[in-house]
Amino acid sequence: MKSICLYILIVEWDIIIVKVLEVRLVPVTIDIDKCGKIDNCPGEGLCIKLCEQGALIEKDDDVVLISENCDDCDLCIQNCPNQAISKV
Amino acid sequence: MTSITREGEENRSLTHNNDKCVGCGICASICPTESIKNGPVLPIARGLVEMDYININKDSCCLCGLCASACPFDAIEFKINDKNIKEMEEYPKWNKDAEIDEDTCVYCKSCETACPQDAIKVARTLPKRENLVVGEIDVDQEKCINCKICEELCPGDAIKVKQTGRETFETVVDEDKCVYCLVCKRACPTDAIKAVCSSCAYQDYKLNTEDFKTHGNTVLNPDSCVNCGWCQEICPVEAATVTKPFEGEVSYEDDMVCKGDSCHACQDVCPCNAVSITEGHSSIDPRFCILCGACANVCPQKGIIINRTKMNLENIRSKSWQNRLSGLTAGK
Repeated sequence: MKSICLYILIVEWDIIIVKVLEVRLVPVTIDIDKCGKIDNCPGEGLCIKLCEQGALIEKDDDVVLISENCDDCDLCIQNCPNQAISKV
Repeated sequence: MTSITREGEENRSLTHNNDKCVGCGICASICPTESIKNGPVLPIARGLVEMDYININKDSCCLCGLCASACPFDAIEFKINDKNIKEMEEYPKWNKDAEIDEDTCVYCKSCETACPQDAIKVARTLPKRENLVVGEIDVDQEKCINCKICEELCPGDAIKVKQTGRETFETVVDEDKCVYCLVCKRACPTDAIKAVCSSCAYQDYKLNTEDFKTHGNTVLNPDSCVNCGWCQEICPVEAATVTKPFEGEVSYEDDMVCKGDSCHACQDVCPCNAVSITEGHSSIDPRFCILCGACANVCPQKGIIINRTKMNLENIRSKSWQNRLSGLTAGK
C-alpha cells in the first residue's frame, strides 16, 4: 500500500513535538469501461481470486477495491485479462 | 494438449504436453515465426483457470521443431515421419541428466522426499529384525509372580503374561519383537528373568553382516525429472548426480520491491521448489534453480533476472537455430 508521510512540527512549552500523519494513496485503479465485471471477465473475477490480501472483493457481481488492504504487489495488474487495472 | 500436424513429403507433427509444461516461455522466446504465446502462467499454475501454458498458432507455426528441441522440460514433442527428433542424429541433444548410482545408494529415501516432481521412487527391503539383534532370554516360571511389570515396561511389546488356567499364568517372550534391551530383567522384582544382550556381552558372536543390509532399488523417472538437483544436494552418500540444462545465475533487480508474502507468484510457478519467501522477500536457492525463467515471467515487479551463460544443448547444426538459441544465453 503506497502512502506519503506528512511531518508536522509543533512547538509547545519549548518542546518540539513531531507528529507524523500518514496519508494513504489508492495504489491501483480499475477502469470500469475495460473491466467486464465478473460475468464478462474471461477469468471470472481472476483479480479477486489472485488477491490474497482481500483488497479486491466481489460485491453484487462487481469488483470492489478495498484500498487499505492493498499490498501493492501488482499481481492484479499483471494478470487482469482485460487489462483494466493499473497504477494510479 | 495441443497438436499440429502437416502431411506432405514429410509428415510432421508437434504436440504440446501441458502436464510437463511449466510456462517458462523459452519456446515463445525462440519461435522464429512468433507463433507461440504465453498464457496466463500464474493463474494456470494456481489452478484458477483451465488453459494451456502456451498457445500455439496453428496457422503460422512452420513446424520447424526448434521449440521441441529447446524445451528443457520435454513438454513439446516433435516428430518427423513418426520419429521423435530427439532420437535423430541431425537434431540437437540435451546434455542434461540426473542419475542415481545404485551401488552407492543406501535407500534412505531422502531424494524421494525432496524431489519436487515426485520423479524418484525408492523401494527397499529392510533386514529381518531377528538378524540384527541376537540374544537369549528366559523367564523362570517358578520365580515369576505374574505381576506384569515386565509386560507394562517392555518397549517392544514383546512380553505377555498369559493366564493359562484358573490360577496359572505363563510369561511368554516374543523373540521376534524382543530387542534384548533388558528392561524386563532390571525391573523384575523376583529376578525371574535371565537375559543376555549380544551387544552388551563381552564376547564375539558369529553374525553374518550380509543379513544386516537393506536391499532395494531407486528408480528415477526421466519423464518427470526437471534436473533441479535436489536429489544431488540431499543425498548423504553422493549417489545422485545431476547436470542442469542451463548454467548461469539468478538475481534480483536492485530496486525491486518484492511483496513476497502477498504475491509469491515466483514460488508458485517454480517447478524446482527453489523459491522460498524469507522475511517477505522472494529468495531463490541457486542450488536448485535450473534458470528456466518461469519465475521471471510471472513476477509482477519484473524484478527477477535470469542470466544464462551456457545452454547444455549440443549438436546444434543449423546456423539459424544457433542464432535463435543464442538469445537464451544472452541474459534476460
